[in-house]
This record gives sequence, structure tokens and C-alpha cells, in this order.
Amino acid sequence: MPLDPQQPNSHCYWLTAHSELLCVCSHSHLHWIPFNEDPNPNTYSSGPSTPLKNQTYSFSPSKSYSRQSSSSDTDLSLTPKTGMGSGSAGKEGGPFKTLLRQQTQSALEQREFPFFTLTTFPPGFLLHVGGVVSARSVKLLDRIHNPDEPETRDAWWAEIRQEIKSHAKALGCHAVVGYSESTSICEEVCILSASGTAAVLNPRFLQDGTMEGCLEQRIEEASPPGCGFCHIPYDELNMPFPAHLTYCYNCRKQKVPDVLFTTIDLPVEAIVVGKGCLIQARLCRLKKKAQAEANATSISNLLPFMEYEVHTQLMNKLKLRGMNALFGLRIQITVGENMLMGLASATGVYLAALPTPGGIQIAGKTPNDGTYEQHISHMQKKINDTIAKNKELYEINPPELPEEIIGSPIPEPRQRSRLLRSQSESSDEVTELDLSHGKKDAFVLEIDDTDAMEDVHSLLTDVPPPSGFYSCNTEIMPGINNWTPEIQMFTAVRVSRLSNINPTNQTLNKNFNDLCENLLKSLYFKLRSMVPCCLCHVNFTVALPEDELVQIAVTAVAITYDKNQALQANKAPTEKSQQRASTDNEEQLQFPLELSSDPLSSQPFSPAKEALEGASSHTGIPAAQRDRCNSWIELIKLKAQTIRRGSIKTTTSLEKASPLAEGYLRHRSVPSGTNSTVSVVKMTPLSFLPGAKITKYLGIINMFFIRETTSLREEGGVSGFLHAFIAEVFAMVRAHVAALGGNAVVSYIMKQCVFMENPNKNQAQCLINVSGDAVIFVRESELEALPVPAPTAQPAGSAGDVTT
Amino acid sequence: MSSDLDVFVGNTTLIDEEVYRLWLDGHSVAEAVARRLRGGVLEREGTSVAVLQSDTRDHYRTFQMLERLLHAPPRLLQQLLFQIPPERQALLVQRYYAFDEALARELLGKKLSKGTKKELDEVSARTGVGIRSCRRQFDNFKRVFKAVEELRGPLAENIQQLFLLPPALARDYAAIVFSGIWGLWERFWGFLGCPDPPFSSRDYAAIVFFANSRFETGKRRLQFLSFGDFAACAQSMMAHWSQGALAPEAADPDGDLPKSFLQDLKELKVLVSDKDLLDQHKSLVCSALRGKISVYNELEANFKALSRALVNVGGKLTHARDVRDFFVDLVEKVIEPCRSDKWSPGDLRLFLTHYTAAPRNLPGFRHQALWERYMAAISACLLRMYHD
Repeated sequence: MPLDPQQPNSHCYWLTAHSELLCVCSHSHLHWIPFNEDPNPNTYSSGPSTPLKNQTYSFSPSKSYSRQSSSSDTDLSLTPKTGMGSGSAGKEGGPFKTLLRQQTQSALEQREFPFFTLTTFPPGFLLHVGGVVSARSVKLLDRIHNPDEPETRDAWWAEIRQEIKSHAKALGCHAVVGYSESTSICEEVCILSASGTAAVLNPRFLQDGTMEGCLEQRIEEASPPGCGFCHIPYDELNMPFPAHLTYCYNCRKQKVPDVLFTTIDLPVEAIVVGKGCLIQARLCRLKKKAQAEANATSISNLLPFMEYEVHTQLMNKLKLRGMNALFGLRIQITVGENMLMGLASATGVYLAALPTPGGIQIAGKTPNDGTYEQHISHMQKKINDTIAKNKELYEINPPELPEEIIGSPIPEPRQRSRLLRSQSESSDEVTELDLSHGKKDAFVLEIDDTDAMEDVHSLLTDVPPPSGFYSCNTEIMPGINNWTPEIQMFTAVRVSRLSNINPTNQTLNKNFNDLCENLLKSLYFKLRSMVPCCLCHVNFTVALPEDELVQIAVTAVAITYDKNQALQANKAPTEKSQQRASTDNEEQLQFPLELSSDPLSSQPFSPAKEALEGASSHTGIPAAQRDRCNSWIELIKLKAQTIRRGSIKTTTSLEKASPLAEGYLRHRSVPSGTNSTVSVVKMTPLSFLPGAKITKYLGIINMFFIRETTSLREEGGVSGFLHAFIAEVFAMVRAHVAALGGNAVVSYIMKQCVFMENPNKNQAQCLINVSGDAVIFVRESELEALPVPAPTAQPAGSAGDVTT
Repeated sequence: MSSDLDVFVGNTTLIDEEVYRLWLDGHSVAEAVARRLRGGVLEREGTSVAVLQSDTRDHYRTFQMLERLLHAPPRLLQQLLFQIPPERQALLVQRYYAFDEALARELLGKKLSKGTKKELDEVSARTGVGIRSCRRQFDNFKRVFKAVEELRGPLAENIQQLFLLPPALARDYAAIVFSGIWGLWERFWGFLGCPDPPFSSRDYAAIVFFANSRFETGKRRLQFLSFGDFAACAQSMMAHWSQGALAPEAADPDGDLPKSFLQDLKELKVLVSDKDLLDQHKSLVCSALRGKISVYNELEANFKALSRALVNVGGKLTHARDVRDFFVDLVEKVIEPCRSDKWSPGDLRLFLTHYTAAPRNLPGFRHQALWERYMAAISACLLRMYHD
């Protein structure tokens, strides 16, 4: 990875985005098989997912983009070497805001793809969040010209990224955060998906490349930190889609939408009312078995409807819980032989800045039918009861505001948007339902056929988690701050046969829904001893390995929290979270992995290091900041290189880690004192360990395992086989980390779990790919007792810096 | 929609104590689910039968994978596959090796052979312990026995170390093994901790020949004794007679004490064979107990018979053939006569105390230390066994 010494320091962020992006690509490339020319380049995209009822779809013919990068390697020389003018601080007024945005925008737009795969950012980094942007594309894999070369693949992704970029632009945003790409492949058909959150970033961060300036800037910012990111980035007179806008409930100065969907974690500075919860939309669609183009076409035709329905479900479920924003949204569309499956997971919260969501109203089509009417009203009552119950359950008691302060929703936005909507509108605008009758902000569900009835029923089948349980798919649960160190990471895998002879969409939906609900229920049941606890980072992965088989894999971590402290913390939740955020950020900045200080470990990257040194000395940034920045870059580069190589790059860190680790272990072994020789290794999909301080990062663990058995029955059938295999994978990861001197794995993820069986031959195979960061952590309580291990990390690094 | 594959794996292995107990009791998954349902878990947790089934199956799979490690508990500590907190590991082992006393009582005095294992069906029916649980416990006994039979050193400690059992449970196992339930006389000595059996090679061969030298415990007469009684007796015998108890005297210049302990017991016969000694002994005990004991007259009448029985039990211990009658003799010749004379346990205790102490004042009796050691265990056994 060449790095121009003349490169201004600010480019380090871009390196981040690009190298992370590449990780995603390289993994999706794992599956590519030869193919020729893409005959069906239907790029499908859904607009930003804010107000559902105005959801629009566009089918744009595939545009041919000039290729800018020819390989999956990031070529930094492609990024323009323009330095940014120093942004002037001041009050954020209307014209100034535009100016500021233009400035940032221009700087960002010069990048090929201003995408960030990160999902958490320092406070103040996100100025505005526009909403979710996504794009999907159906491709045929069997017609590739030269399968060994990445050209075609890169072109496909470039196309999708352009699409994403233009969506973000339509929302008045110049960057995409929380960006991710994924593929689903069945035979020769492949669905490429990308999604992210359109956002306006703080130019200060991009300019200086250091955090100090930004923190100062945050104080100068006019918009209060707790709600700033909710304010719309687009022009309210020229909205990309129709939406109800109101004045921000927090600062009353800026406009906010009525709902906000994002793919990122909840910003730490966000003001949240009550607790959050996991919200899932599940969907199955049958499709005819077909070959090649016909198959791709039928998939393409189904996708928009699926996406629409997923959003409907999400929106309904969000309203049903009395919440107004989704974070960590991840929509997964899986393609199988004869069906498509959609699973969306997100964490719903009530943002104090956004208006209170209205209820859900059911409207029947045949009002003259008495029994029908009765049924409808019965359902309406049930829905209202559920909403009330949920509000209680998730402690959503927003402060009552006098109506005059709130102000009425901005009038006639629909009309205007109709006129001005230009970006991605097409003829299907006419299908839009006018659902805005009745209560002004109520959400109306029209029951016009049995399908709709089913939908309403399925809304009510979602059982809330048992008392003492919360769940979310973000890193931490909004509204809970007092975690105990007790964590339990787990993986659950289920494969179910959809045994219906003549399956219909309804039965499939119900089966799939039951499967997911049962899985969640069984998780709650299994972990009941940890109550009160929260399932964090709940990550569902759906696969369709065979005709009628559905495989769901869930990885999550259950963390116990202190109930008594929770009550106290409730009093000042935002302050606490902000505090936590700032300390967290400091920790992240002071990555103790000062690779540049170690001659051994930095050897593979020495040219880059020199370049960095050169770059930073040119810019004349204070040494301390430079070092921090360098270490971060080095870490990211190490990550990127490791992932690209697909192997475990841990040898270098091993040598470095051992002295400290030994010292640490010596310290630890004294108090533990058990006769057990096996050291305990914690695992978590989160980036942190509650109640502990990570003193050292030891490098990436990225392991592939393939296991085959020819005696399936003897090993306890498929369940026995997989149970043992997953247990062994965990054990091998733990052993590897322990061998490196670590005592935990953070950011653990199971990227692949491919399971195949042939019961007739008594055989089964399984491939598992897991990765994470090996770390050394010290309990905060021990940290006070043993002051020795913690400082060793820091001085060692800084001393090394002086010598280099 | 049936689940073909359904697994849950935690980084820390989840152990549900209730399911573990059901598994140990030998219930099938279906039975376990039924029992959990009856336990009202559904109402408590508000979950479904399917969830319960899946949960039970998961736990059963985990336990099956753990079982081979439980066969050698130190391996459970060293393995890397399952991350289990130490206190949970201890619980797993403890529960796995816990046994039903009713079953242990049945097995007492039987050989741990395949034949016995085949009879477990009947044992299961009699004791109400599930057949699978019976087999598991039987295998546990056998495993513990095999592991320690060749080892030297204190039995209970060996078991504790090899199987990581808590001291109380290890002592119980030691008692089982010790009581010679399945053992030969030779092993009995091994467990007593003597470096060499105090027999000549000829005796040794004879002992091996008389393989039926186990303590007789199955007789109708002994039915009233529980497993706990036998275990307590075995423990007091180990405590007072084994090498550990003799250690201070092993350092004696004369040196040959441990070896000859049982041989020396024959010397005690003088107490009953010598008429003078017997009379003096009687008068000492009687004078001490006069007025203090409700059954004084009966005592006076029976003293000689009792004393003869108590001393002769010890004298017979060197003979493999007679060892088996140890408990029978005690019951037949001491406990039953006392019971028919309506001795209270307090009476017996008082009598034994003075009976043991009296020879101190007998002129010409030189085996005071031996006598007291011998009587300490015998008294403990008798007091334990003296109930309905």
C-alpha cells in the first residue's frame, strides 16, 4: 500500500474507509465463479427509508461507469491531493451552513467513494444523518469473461457504489457511514447488496485528522449535540421524498423528520427516551424454479416488493413499540432455489428530538359488514393495548410538551414533493396510497385483502422478550449504562425444513416468522439465569442451503446489568452516556498498539511508516498527536493487510506481546489461585468489554475451519456434529488468543457458516470463518489494585517513539 | 416446520442444574421434557414446549460430550473445549459421582463384575433408582475402585485427588471400597495402608483362593443396617486401624507394629481366656457402672458372653474366611443380646467406655494401647449400628 509522503495528513481517514471497504469486497469475492456477460443488469434501489408510505422504487438501467480503479487494491495515488482550506468557525446560519456543506462536499466528492464502514463515530462527527441508502443488483455469474481477473466484479461494485453515492447526494449528504456490502448466491444467480446511511460529516474532522480540534469545534457548534444529527440535511423546499417535518423537539430550531432509519450505531450524544429493542421484519417469497436469465428476471421483479414489505413491517413494528428511529438496520435478502427470504434487523429507539409517533389505525374496506367491523375494532383495540404495553415496557415517557411550542407539522409537504421530486421517480408513483386520512400523524393500515389481514395479525404475534431481558443489534443498548462484567457470547444455529407440500407465501412467512421467534424465545430461555440482562449485537444470518431448508445462525452476547444502578442512572442517562463516550474515545485514540515503535512488527510496513513520518513532519503536527494518529493508521493497515492475505498475521504481535502478557499473567495467576491450568478467554462481538480496560491489542484473529465427518450418526447426527464443531471453533480461537498472551477476543464475528449434509451417505461438511481482535484487558477493579500492568503499555509505546 | 438441526453453543458452557439432574437420573430427552413441564417451568418462564425440547436436547448433547471427561475429572480441568467456571466444574463432578445410598447398600458385598451389572435390573426395581442411573453409578464405583486399587497411601485422599471429589464424598467412596464390598482380603490390607500384607505368602495364596472374603452384608440379620451405617463403620475402622492412625507408633523402635496389628489382636484373647483377668475385668466394669446403668443386672449376667464376643471378633480378623462374618458377629453376639435386654444406646455407650478403660487397671495386662485402638473402632461401629 504505497503512501505518498507528500500526502497531507488528513488523508488518513480515507485510508480507513478504503481499506475497510476492501475487506468487504475481498470476502464477497470468495464465492465468485466464472461467468460471461451480465445480461440482466437491473439495478434496483430503494430510496431512503424514512417515511414508508411514500416509499418509491426506481428501476434504472445499468449505467456504464468509467472504471477508475482496476484492482481491488486501494491505490491512494488516485485520491486527489488537495488539501482542505481551513474551515472557519462560527454560528451555523442558513447561508453559512450551505457554504460549509459545499466545502465539505467538495472535499469529499473528490474521493471516489466517500464511504465509511465504521458505525460509531466521535461526538460531533456526524452533523446530519439523512437516512438509509441502499442498492441491489442481480447478476449472473456464469458469463464472466476472465474469471481470474477482478475487472467485472469491480465494475459491478463500482456501479452499486455509484448508485449509493447518488442516493446520498439526493438526500443532501456527501458521505455514507455504516456502509456494508453483501452477496447472496444461489447457483449462478447472485444478488449484490449495499447499504449505508447518508450523512453530512463535520469538515473539521476531515481536515485536521486529529481529534483535539474537533472536540473544540463541538463546543463551538451552534446545534446542540444531542439532536444535531437528527436535523435534516436536505432542503425542506426541495425534499427528495415526501416526509412530515417538524421542528426539532429538542432545540426547536431545525427541522427533523418523523422517523429516522440508519445503519449506524446510536451516536453516543443522542438523547434517547427509555430503552431500545430489537425489531425484525421477516419475509418469504416463493419464486418459480428457473434458469439463468429467466431466474434473474423473476428475482429482480420480486425484489422491490420484498423491500417494500420489509419496510412496511419495520415501520409498523416501530410504531407498535411507540418508537421513532431505527439504528443498526441490516436488511438481508437471501436467494434460494425456489424462494427469496428477507430478514431485517434493527434496534428501535425513541429519539427525544423526533416527534412522538402516532398510533396505528386500521381501516377496513367493507365498512357495512357488521361482524367485520367488530373484528376490525377488536384488532384496533388489541393494537392500542400493545402500544400502551410497549411504552410501559420500554419506559417511553417523553416529556409532555405544550402544543404551541412544538408547532404544527409543516403543511403541504406532499404537494411540494410531488412537484420537486426528481431524483428517482418513475411511473409507479401512481401506486402511492393516500393514507393520511384520519388523525394527522396516525399511521393507517388498510385491510383490503386477506394478505393485509395476515400482516396485521403477524404484527401482533411478536412476543416481547420476557421481563428482565432486553435485546438490540447495536453494540450497546440505549438507556442501559451500568453493565456488569458478566458476559456470555454464544452462537446458535438452526436448520429447518419447510415441509409444506404446496407452500404459499403466507404459510412460508408464518413458518419463517415462527422460526425466528422461537429461536429468540429459546435464547431468552437459555440465558434466563443471567437476568437482568441484555442481548447485544444480535446478528442473524439466513441461508438457504437447499430447496426447503432454511438455516439461521445467530451470534450475540448477553450482558448482565445492575438493576439497582439502572434506576439511578435513569436520572441522567444522557450525561452518563456522554461521559462514557468521551472516555471511550480517548481510549480508542490511545491505541496502545504502537506498532511503529517496535522494529520487529513494523518491518513489513516500514516504507509506509517512513512515509507517514515524513507526511506528519511536513504538516508540522505536534508529535503526540502524530503518534496517536500513526498508531491508528498502522493498526488499520495491519488489519487491512491481514484480511487481504486471508491469514492470521499475529506473529509480529506475538513477540511484542509476550513480555507484557507474561507480566500480566503473573499478576493474574496470583489472585486466581485455582488449580486449573486453562486460562479463561472472554469472547464478545462488541468492541469493548464492560467493566474492563483493554490495555493492548494483539492483532487480528481470522480463522477458517473446515470439518467433515463420514460418521454422522455416530457423532449424534447433524446437531451433534455442528455442536461439537462450533465448540471446537470457540476453543481454538480461545487457545490462539491465550497463546498470544491475550485474555479476550473483541469484535468477534462469524462471517461464514456453511453447512452441508448427506444423511444417506452418513456424511456432513461444515465451513466456518470467524474473526476478531485478540486483546489483553484488565478489570477496572483490578486496575486500581494493581497499578503496574496498565502504565506499562503506555510508556513502552512512547519510549519507543522517541527512539525511532 | 421441523428443526433438523438446532444447536446453541456458548463461549462459557451453560449448565442447567435441573437438566443435569434429569440426565444423571437417566431420563430420556422426552421424559426430561415431561418432568420439566410438570415442574411448571412453562408457567414460570412463559415459554413453549418446543423451546423446552430444544433446550433439553442441547443440554443433553453437552452432557454427553462432557461425560467422557467426567470419567477422569482431572481431564475436565485441563481440557480446552468447554470453558466452564471452576465452581461449575466442581458441581459437575460432584453430581456425577454422587450416588444413591439405597443402591450402594444393595451393591455392598457384591462383586463389581459383569454378573452384578446384569442384576442391576432387579436392583433398580427394588431401589426405585432408574436403570440407566444404576448402570452409571455402578460404573462409577468400578472406575473408582480400579483407579485406586493399586495405589498406596490413604484411600480417601487418593480418591479425592484422582476424582476431584469433595472430602465427604471421597470418604464415602473410600468407605465403599474399603468395606471390601468387592475386594479381596489382600486389598483390604492395601487400603488400610499397610505397605505389605501381614501374612506369609502361604496365607496370601489361601486368601486369594478364598475369594469370597468380603464382608458379609447381605444376610437377613443385617438388613436393618443402612449404607450409611456400613460407611461409618468402615470409616472408623480406617481411622483407627489404618497406617495413618498408626503412624506415631510406626516410628516406635520396635517398628513392626503396622504389620502385626491384626496378628497382635490375637494377644487380646488373654482377656477372655484367662479366667482371673476376665473376672477382674468384670468386677472393674461392674463396680464402675453400678447405679449408673438401668440394665445393670442384665449386664452382670451377660458380661462374660459379651466380652468373649467382642474380643473374638478381633481375633478372627486374620482369617479371610472369618472376616466376612465381622458384621454378622457383632450383630448376632453383641447387638441382638443387648437389644433383647432393652439396653438404651446410652447404656451401651457407658458400658463400652468403661469396658475399654478398665483393663488399664488390670494387673498383668500389657496390651493396653493395642486394646484401646481396637476398641475405639469396635465401639464406634457398635454405637453406629445400635438402632432398630
